[in-house]
Formats: sequence, C-alpha cells, structure tokens
Amino acid sequence: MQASRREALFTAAVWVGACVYTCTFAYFFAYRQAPQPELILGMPSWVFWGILAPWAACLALTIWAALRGLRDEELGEEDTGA
Amino acid sequence: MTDPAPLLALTLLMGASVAIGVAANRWARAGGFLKGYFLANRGLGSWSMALTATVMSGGTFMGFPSLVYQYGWVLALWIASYMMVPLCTFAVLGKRMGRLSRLTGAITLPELLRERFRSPALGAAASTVMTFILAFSLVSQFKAGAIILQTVLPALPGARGDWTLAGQSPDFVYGLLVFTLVVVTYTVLGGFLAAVWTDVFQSVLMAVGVLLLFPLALARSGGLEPATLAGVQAAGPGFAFAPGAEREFLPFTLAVSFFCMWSIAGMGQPATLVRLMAFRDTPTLRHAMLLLAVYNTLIYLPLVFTFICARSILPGLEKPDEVMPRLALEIASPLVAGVILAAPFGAVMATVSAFLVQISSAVTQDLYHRWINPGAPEARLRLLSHASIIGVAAVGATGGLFSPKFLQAIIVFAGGAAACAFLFPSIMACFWARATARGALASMLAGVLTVLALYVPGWITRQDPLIGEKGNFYPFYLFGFAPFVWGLLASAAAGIVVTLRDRAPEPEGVARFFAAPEPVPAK
Repeated sequence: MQASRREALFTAAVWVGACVYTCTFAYFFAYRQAPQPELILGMPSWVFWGILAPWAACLALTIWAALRGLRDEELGEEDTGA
Repeated sequence: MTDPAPLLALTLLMGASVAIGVAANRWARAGGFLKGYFLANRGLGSWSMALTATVMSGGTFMGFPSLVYQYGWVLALWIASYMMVPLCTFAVLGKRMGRLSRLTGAITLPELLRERFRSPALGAAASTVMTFILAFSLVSQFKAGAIILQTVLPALPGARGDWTLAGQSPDFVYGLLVFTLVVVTYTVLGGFLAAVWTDVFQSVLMAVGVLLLFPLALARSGGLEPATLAGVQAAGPGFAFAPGAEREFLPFTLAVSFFCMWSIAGMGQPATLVRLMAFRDTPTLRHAMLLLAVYNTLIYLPLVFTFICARSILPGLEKPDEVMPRLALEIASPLVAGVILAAPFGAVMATVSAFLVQISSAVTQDLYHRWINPGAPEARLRLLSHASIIGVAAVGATGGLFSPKFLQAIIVFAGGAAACAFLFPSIMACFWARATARGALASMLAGVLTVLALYVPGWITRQDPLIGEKGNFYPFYLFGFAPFVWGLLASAAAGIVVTLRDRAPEPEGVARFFAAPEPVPAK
C-alpha cells in the first residue's frame, strides 16, 4: 500500500511537471503566430522544444520507473468465496 | 475501390479474428467459466496489457489523421499527453486494482466496487451507468466498422439495387451485416480473451501500418520541411501554430483540457480498469508500462509527421476523413495499402468486442448471477453470456443503422463520461480507507451527470461554439474547458464532500483491503 501510494504520487508529480511545462511553452511559443515558422528538423521549433523534448524526458522516466522505480509486490490470494 | 488486395487483407483479418476466438475459447477453459470468459483467469501478459489497456480505437487510425490533415501541427499539442499515458495507466491504479480484485474475488468493475464498499446499490448503479455509456460507444463503432467494410466489399446480389434500409445504401447494410456476424462469432467463442488477443493483433498491425506509411510519405513529400512549408502556403500560418489552420481548433483552454483528457480519462475507462484486474503479476505490469511507452512514441509522433506530409501529397481533399485510405492507396502498393487499411478495421472490431464482453458481464454476472439466480449452473450462465452478446450486438447494429452523423463526438462524449463516472470512485476504493459507499455513488453520479448536462444543450441547439472540432453537434464548453474537466472536478468534489459528511466505515470492515501484502508460500 505504501509503495503504491508513493508510486501514484510520483506519477502525479511527473504529470504536473509535464502538463505545466508543455502548456506553458505552448502558451508562449505556439499561440504567437508568425508568417514563417522557425523550423527544427522540419517541424516548428515549438513542437520540438515544447512536445518532443518533454516526451523524451517522460519516456526516459517511464523506462526508469518500469525497470527500477516500481516495486514488485504479491497481489494476494484469490477470494474464492465471494 | 476495385483492387482486390484491400478486400483480401480484411478477409484475412476477419478469418484470423475468428481463429483467435476459437483459440481463446480453449485457453480460457482452464479456470471456471465466469473468470475464464470475462477475465482470462487473471493471466494477461505484458504485451496484452500494453497494447489493449489504453484508449485506442478506429478513431486513432481514421479520425486523428484527418484532424492532422485539416488543422496542422497543433495536433501534436492535442495528443501531447500521450507521453504520460503509460505511467498514468499502470503506475497509479495498477497494483491496487490487481490486489483489490483478488481480495474481493471480483471479476467485473461493478462487482469490485460493490464488494469493496459492501454496497449492492453501488454495484447496481455502476452496472447501469456502464451499460448506458458503453451502449453509446457501441452504436458508433458498429457504424464505423460498416463504413470501412462497405468500401471494399464486392458487389453482392441486390447491392446495386436502388433500395434502402433506414435511409442507408445496400452496400452499407451488407457491410454492417458482415461486420456484426464476424464480431459476434469470435466474441461469443472467446469472450474477454478473444477481445484482448484481437486487440493485440490489431495494435501490431497498426504499428506495421504506421511504420510502413511514414517513410513512404516522407519520401513522396520531399521531407518534413517542404511539407510544413507547403501546408503553411496552402492553409496559412495557422498550419504551423496553435490554435490551428482554418479554425480555432485548439484554443489554450482546450489544450489544457485535452492534456487531462488522454492521460487521465484513459485511466478511468471500464475496459482499462477491468484489464488492471486481469494481469498476471507486478513484473507483467512494469514490462507493459515500458512496452506501451515505446509503442506510443512509435505510433503517435510518426502519425503526426505522416499526415503533415499528406497535406502536400494530397492537397485539397474534399473529404478529409478519407485521407488515411487515400494516402495509403496513393503512395503504397495495393497489398501494403491493404495491410494499412486492415489496421483501423481491426481496431474497430477489437473495440466492439471489448464493449460486448463488458456489457455481457454486467448482465450475466452483476445482474443475473448476483441478483436473480446466485445458484445458477455454469451451463445457464454460459448460455446467458452468449445470448446477451448476440442481443446487445443486434441492438448495436440496429442503432448503427439509424445513428446520426456525429460518430467522433459520440466517442469523445462516451470516453469522457466513462472516466468521470469510474475514475474517482476507483481511486477512492484503492487509496482511501475512509471512503464510503455513498461517497463513491455520489462521485459516480456527479461525474456522469455533469458531462451529460454540458452535452445536452449542444445536442438540442447544435450551435457551433467556433472552437474545437467542426462537426454536427457540440458540447457546451464552460469557460472554454471541455466537459470532461468539469465532470472530473464534480466527481472528485462530490466524492470527498459526501464521504466526509457520512459515517466512517467500521475499521475491521476495510482493514484487509489496506493491510500490507501477505507473503505467498514458496512453491
């Protein structure tokens, strides 16, 4: 239970970080249109820095959580009398 | 469409699905009928969990590309929260749902809520709400399946006549009939496991389709930079910026709403929650999380890139909904196009199959077995399961015949309403020992009724709010936010307030759900 709660809080913290970063970045750079977009690798720079970069960070955190962060637990015996 | 390759691909897919149903039937016989048929004996592995526990349907491969084609790069922001879906889906509720379902012996979500809160009324309400919401989704998915099939079915006797049924053309009626027969056959044969295995199959097919299409589209358009610049030239600067080309598709409030929608709503879907009751062990859960993170990265970002390129490859499409099949047929060989077209069809089949099993479990286990005839023999339960699948499919197919022209809006409504009904009660069940049955019931009803209240004015007035996707009917965007956000807030507030005003449950009644896990004897 303690581990599950800690892992849920970890996920909530990562979610808040991803949401605040992505939405704030988009607010300042995606919603201010220019006649010609600045491109990085063919995509608008706000997509590269505002979405691809946090996506890569979340992917790395998820892989870390899957391999190291989440604790294995027994799930309990089946209640066959229910 | 006259080339036989797409029809061949779909025929192979349908044949494979029926074979999967037969195989699943044999596999699930190992345990008791109900647990085997509705929960695969809690034996789902990592691939099954990763590729079936999240929100993916035909819309991922049909509706989403058309939005990218129309509105441009802002769709990358629309789906940005898929970066969080693996963590949210598996790391928050996964272990707790798996443990609670075993401790209670529950094989359906309403059963888990009823046993955890010791409230038959809560279980009955959950079954009713779930059936109501899934029925909405089911109708739209039946229609989507028929639409795909009608484009590749050869002319059948009577298909060229000028008759109609409920205003639908003969080829649509044939498509609906074939789709319904195939889905019912393999779902009746294999139950939950057939739905899961077909889902895995279509997810792999979808990945193959995307990974085939992406380099072909890049090569044809000359790269991402020329494609972006061509899109800006054709549709204006909005193609490369928010809120989107030609329409305020994603104002900032909706960007925040959809960041919540995909990552959080996915956690609260009944189909997702029931899979969290069915995984084998916690290493399975961790590996599923890793697989899904890689899978989402390989699917969603290349889909955006591919259909940005489509704007320059197929400029000026009159029906953007057709961009996926049109692009596949334009840049790939007929056989490859067939494989690519089979992916969305498989996605729709898997979604329908999963919904049929969910509703059948609500009828058989939650209603009949619990309330009407607790001592029913297995043969009767089996018969009722099959009959309810056939009956619900018949109703769904009939609804598909009459359903109006706003499929995507129905899917978004049903997904949001389901999450608002079940997410917070599930969180209360898993993490809050103080939570009460009245609190969970209030949370469920407040969530779903808030979403309904924000949709009904849109259904009545059909007034375009000038933001969001252009369609035939719209929700009311209170302060610019999507109904899902308000539904979730209402659900959380009602759950907390009613629980705190209610008498606390007896500690000994809930202690076993929150005790440290017992060690399992060594085998």
